[in-house]
This record gives sequence, C-alpha cells and structure tokens, in this order.
Amino acid sequence: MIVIGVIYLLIMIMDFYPIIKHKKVKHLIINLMFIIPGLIFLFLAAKGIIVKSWITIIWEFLKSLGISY
Amino acid sequence: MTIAETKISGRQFMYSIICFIQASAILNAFISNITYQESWLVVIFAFIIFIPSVFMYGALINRFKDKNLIQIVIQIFGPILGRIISVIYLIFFLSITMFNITDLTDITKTSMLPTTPYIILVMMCILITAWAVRSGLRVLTIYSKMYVFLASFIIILSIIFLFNVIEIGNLFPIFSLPLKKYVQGIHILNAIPFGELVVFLLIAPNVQMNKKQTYKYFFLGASIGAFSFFLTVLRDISVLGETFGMFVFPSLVAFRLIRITEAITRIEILFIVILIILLIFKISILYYVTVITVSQIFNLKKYKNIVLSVGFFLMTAAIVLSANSIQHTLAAQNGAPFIWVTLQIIFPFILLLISLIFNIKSPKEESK
Amino acid sequence: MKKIFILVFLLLCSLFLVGCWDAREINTLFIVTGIAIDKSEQEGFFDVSVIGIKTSPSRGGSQSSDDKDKKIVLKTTTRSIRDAFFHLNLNYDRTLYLQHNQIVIFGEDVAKDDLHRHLEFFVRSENSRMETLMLIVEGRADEVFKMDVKQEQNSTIYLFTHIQTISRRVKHYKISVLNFIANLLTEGFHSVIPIFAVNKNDDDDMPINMTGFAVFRNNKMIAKITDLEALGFVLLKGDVKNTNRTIISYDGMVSFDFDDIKTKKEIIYKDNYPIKIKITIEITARVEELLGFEKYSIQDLNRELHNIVQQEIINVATQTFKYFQELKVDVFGIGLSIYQHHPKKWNNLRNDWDNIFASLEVEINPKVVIKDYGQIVSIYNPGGVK
Repeated sequence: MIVIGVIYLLIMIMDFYPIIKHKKVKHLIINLMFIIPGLIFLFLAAKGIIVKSWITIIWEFLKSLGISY
Repeated sequence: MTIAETKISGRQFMYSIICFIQASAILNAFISNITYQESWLVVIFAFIIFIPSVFMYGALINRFKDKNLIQIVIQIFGPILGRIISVIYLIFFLSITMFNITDLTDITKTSMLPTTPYIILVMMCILITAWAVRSGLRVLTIYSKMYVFLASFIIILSIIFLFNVIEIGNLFPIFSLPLKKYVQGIHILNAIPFGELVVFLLIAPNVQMNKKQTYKYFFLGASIGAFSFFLTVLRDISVLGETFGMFVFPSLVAFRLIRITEAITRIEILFIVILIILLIFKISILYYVTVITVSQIFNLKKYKNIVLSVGFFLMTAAIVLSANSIQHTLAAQNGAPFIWVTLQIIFPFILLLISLIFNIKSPKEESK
Repeated sequence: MKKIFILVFLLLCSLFLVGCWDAREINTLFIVTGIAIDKSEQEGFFDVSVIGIKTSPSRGGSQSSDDKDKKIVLKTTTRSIRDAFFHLNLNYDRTLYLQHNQIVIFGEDVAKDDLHRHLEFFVRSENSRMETLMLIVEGRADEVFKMDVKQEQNSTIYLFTHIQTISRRVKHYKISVLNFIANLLTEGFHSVIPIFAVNKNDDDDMPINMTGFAVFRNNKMIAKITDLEALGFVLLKGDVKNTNRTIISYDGMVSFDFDDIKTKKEIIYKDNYPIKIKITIEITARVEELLGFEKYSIQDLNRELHNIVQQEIINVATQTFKYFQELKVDVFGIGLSIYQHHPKKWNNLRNDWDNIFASLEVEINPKVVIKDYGQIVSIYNPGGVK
C-alpha cells in the first residue's frame, strides 16, 4: 500500500514542478494541507486501523439525542 | 468571476444532471431493506417532494447568475463566516466523493475483480477522474449525452429481456408499512441521490442559459434522471420480489437472470460497464466541485495545481472508509440523511430567503 | 514532454494493470456444472459432490474411470457447503469455478431435513449465481452423477437441458435458488421443487424419470406429489403453455393436449374471513388421440368430449386441492393474493393461515374450448362403420 502511495506521489511531481518553478507558495501550502492528512490516512490504512467516519460520529451523537429512525 | 472560464451549453448541463442521477441506480440498496417492495412508491413520493428544491436551486442560480454556491455563501455571510460555512461544504463534498469512490470500487470488486487490492482500484479511479478534472468542465461533460442514451438504452433493453420473469404482483402490497418507513425512505432519497444535485450550483455559472432555461434544464434533468432511477427500482422489484431487500446490488442480480436464448445470457457485464462509466462521470463531477470549492475558499485563480493532492487525500480517505462498509451503509441510511439534507436543501433555502429579504443579488442582476 | 510521459504511463498501465490479481486462465479452473448434496452417515455432516467438465483433452494412455473421459466428479464430506469447496480446492489441482453451475441437486433426506442451511451459501457467495436450478432426487443425489448420458457431456448438463425443455411447456418445473428463496420469504405461500428418480436400468437410454413435485413447508420437504396430483397442481397454478391428459371413459379413450392454461382465483369472504375459493381454469384443448366413441356423431362427440374433459378437470383439481389442504400447505398463492391486495385483512389472517386454508371450500369452474381434432375430422375406425 505504501508503494502505491509513493507511486501516486511521484505522479504528483507533475503538479509540484510548476508550483516550485513559479514559487507559488499558496498552492504549495494548500497541496500540503491535503497531502499530509492523506499520508496519515495511508499510514492508518497500511496498519489496518479502522477509523470511524465523521458521519458515523455525528450519527451516534444524533442517536444519543434521540434524533434517529 | 468564475475560476474556470469554460462554458457549457444548457443541454450539456441537463444531460450531466441525468447522468448524475442514473449513476445512483446502484444506491437503491440504501432503501431496499427499509421499504422493500414499496420502494418504487417511495421513489415517486421522494421526487414529488424534491421538486420545490429544484426550483429553489433554479432561483438561486438566476439570482446570482455568475456566482457559484461558495461565492454566494461568501457574499451573503461575509468573508470570515462565509469561509467557515464553505469549509463545511468542502467537507461535505469530500465525503460524498469518497462515498461514491467506495461504491465504485465495491461494485468493481464484487462483480469483476474480487482479488485486486482496493488501493489499485481507488488509485485508477482517482487518476482517471483527476485527468478529466484537470481538462476542465467542457471535457468532463462532453460525453454526458452519449452516456445518458447508453444508460437509458440498457435500462430499456433489460426490461424487455426480463419480461418473461417480471411478476407485476411483486409490486404489491402498497401502503402496508408503518408511516415511519416511508418517511425514512423519502428522507434518504432526498439526501441521496436527489439532494446531491446541489453540486450543480457550483457548475451553474459556467452554463450558458437564460432564466427560463435554468428552470427548464434543471427540472428536465432531475425528472428524466428520477424516471430512470424509478424504472430501475421498478424492474428490480418486479423481478426479485421478496428478495429485493436482501441484496447489496439488486440490479446486478436482476441482470444475471436475463436468459433469452443460450446466446443472450450472462450480459450483466453490460450493466456493470455502464454503471462504472456513470460512476466515473459522477465522481469526476464531485471531484471537480470539491477542487473548485478549495480554490474558492483560498482565492486561487487556477485550480489545476491542486487537483492531484486533493485526489491523494480522497484516495487514502476512501481506503480507510472502505474498511468499514457496514458502518458506511448504516451511516448512509441513518445519519447521512439528517446531515446531508441540512446542507443540500435547508441551507440553500436559507440563502435564498436571506437574499430575497435583504435584496442581495449578483452585481449583474442588480444592473438589469 | 508531457505527452511522452502520459504515453509511457498509459503503456505501463496496459502492461501491468490488466488482470494481474484476477487473471483466471481456463487451464487452472475446474468448471463446475452441478452440485449434489446428501446426508452423510456421520451425524451433522454432508456428502457434497461436484461434477464438472474437462477443459483440456485427455492425454493418451492415461487411465480414467469416468465414461468418455469428459466428466470429473469430486466428493468430500463436511459440515457446510463452504467447507466443502474449501476442501476440494485444497485437494485438487484446479480452482472450483462456480459461475457455470447449472443445477443444485438435493437428496431426499437433505430435503426433508432443512434446505435453508445449504442455500445460505448460494445466496451469499459472490461466485454463485441465483438462477441456478434446484432439484430433489429420490434417494441419493450423488447417484445422478453416475448416470450414463449419451446425448450430453454429463448428467447435470443433461438435466439442465431437460428442465429447460419441460419448462417451456410447464414453467413450474423450473425452480431456481432465487425463486425458492423468494417463495420462502413470501407471506402466505409455500413452495414446490421438481423431484425425479434415477433410472437404474442400464439398458434404458432415458436415465431419469420426472416423478412430480416435492412439497415444502418453509425449508422442509413434507410430501411428494406425482401423476394425478402433479397434473392437478399444474392446472390449479395455471400459466402453463402445454400439458396433456389421457381420459378413459365408458365409451372410449381420449388423449387431450391442454394449451394455454390460465387460472383465476376469486376468494369469497364472510365477515372479512375467507370461506370459499372459486377457481376458474381456462383451457384450450386439442384432441390428439381418440379411440372408441363410434356411436357419436360429430356434434354429439364434441359435447360428450367437452363434458368428459370438464368433469376430469373438476375431479383432478378438487382432489389435488383437498390433498394440499390436508397437508395445510398453500402452494397456490391464495394467501399471497390476500397479502398483496388486502394487506389489512391479511394482518388478521397471517398467523393462522395454514388452518384457514385447510378449511376453505373449493369450487372449480373449468372453461374448456376444444379447439381442434387434429388432421382428421371423423373417428379413425379402420374396417368399422363410418
């Protein structure tokens, strides 16, 4: 899984090359804002750690308030 | 000012909406084990209840002609609160994109590639859709008409081929379930798939259509899409009967029953291929909308350079989400409708109401 | 530069990402065409046999105990179907491929026990198909795989073709896994599955006898119907393209072909409680064989044959209906009809439906039209009076 993630990141060089070439700092920061959590998720997936989605968390909260079918 | 300068025609917009709903044919499993054989009735009621929302979206588009949903939110609520709300919408768009990627990979794994690792399927999906998104809205929607005709043709063909196994009695009884089940079914359908049409508010500024055409194309697109969805559900129930509520993919099981002669058999691959095409289309639209939202929040002039990083996040989050498919289904049936409908219908209604009360329009509309 | 990169990437994709993990070469597959399930001598265990076809030509000089070297039978004894496939995959050089499985055959003992525990696998597994046909066999199911069939590659392909042929005329002979499961889940309805016997006479080229139907209450077989009751069942169910009946009366013998059998049911209620069922059976009949009846003119013959066939239908249908009432098994969908059209009435009846069904009065109204008498207009009576 890590290998596939790395392959994808290599493909992303296509995006990073013009950003670094034209020194677009804002774009770089936004890209990192998605890449870093993506790497965390990749690590979790590789370890087989199951994570609850935010919808499940909100649903359980709504259920505790009695708002559920 | 729109981020993407390409323009598409009103008809392409309409066909895109139809494709979007047809791709949700897979999602009849969300209501199948709630309303069972009466799901066909629930689809009709859900669409009738959704019609006012279609006109609400049209009114918003007409009132803010060159602005997408995020720009409308920022204009009405100001730069700070508007951006906070936009981030909520971003999380919403990311979530529905992830769910649809999960659905695509689930159907592919179940029907065609059971031992292929999940990440490979997700990555291929992301790469293809990223390519389409980077190419722009025009490329995204250019084949929507062909997909609509192809999907409609396959639905009609399947009904003809399944005529010998269709039992009209399977559609009955009606109104035999408790009221709560109908309410839940209608609520789910208004969230998924009808309510997901809210994403087209981010595409609308790039569509060449006048005020009347906005209502016409949106309504026609939603109606034809809903009718396709209805036909799919009707076919599946009349073929599968009491077993409709059992299967994860009822349409796949129904297609497998087609046997005209020894030659015309095992044609479920047609269904799977067209479903994958439609799902890729839907994911492309959702991915595009997500990227546009990010660009709008951060005031970027071009969105192309962030496409792949958003895709990376979607890929890894979809994999983590897919590990828990039962939770995903339960969340979609129980939690998602409450959250989704708030963002899809209630909040846009609030936006329209505020704009009407305080007479807030786009500058183009004000000058008219 | 970008275009070259994309082109190279696409070429690499087409090379490495096509069917790597899911590549299935035919020479690694054992194509299963039939599955047989019997009770084992060991308590709680089942004998599972699978039959398949050879996908590569046999090598010269190799010994094979199978006829014509075309069929292969694998057997194992396990607690569940999934276990059986696991063991067979473990101990055989090829992977069992179920996508071409035509038939699942259950031995009579298994059918009397509980079918649901075996069907669970066929419903749940992604490798199996819901349109696989189901059959019950008198005795042991694995006897079927020993049948010598000259017409087809193996016995399950023969059975499948046989069922397809019969079901073109009488569709009730074709019960798939999906049909049976749907019937189990349907309120007010019990199912039947065709039952057959293996012909043990080696000189006979017809290896099976379709004896009738096995009657199920929920998951368990409770009775068999043969001959007369099977005909009655078919008449009462309706929606049949063709069947036949030979009737012997005082004046002669007549053999009818019944075409386009349609059945309509009308339930008579009293105080919202069903008390009577009126069944109208519409049949188009053709005279295929006629012996005797010399004393009748053409007009009188038509009337007489009409009376004979109507009476026969009433007798057969009533007898069959009463038989199912004794079994307290509604296979005709009367309860289903109430459930579909009057769900509120059904709520009051569902818990005691089997007893209510058993107490219903039945009235059979046949509507027979004798369409033609074949190629000759008079009675064929060589040497007799015309």
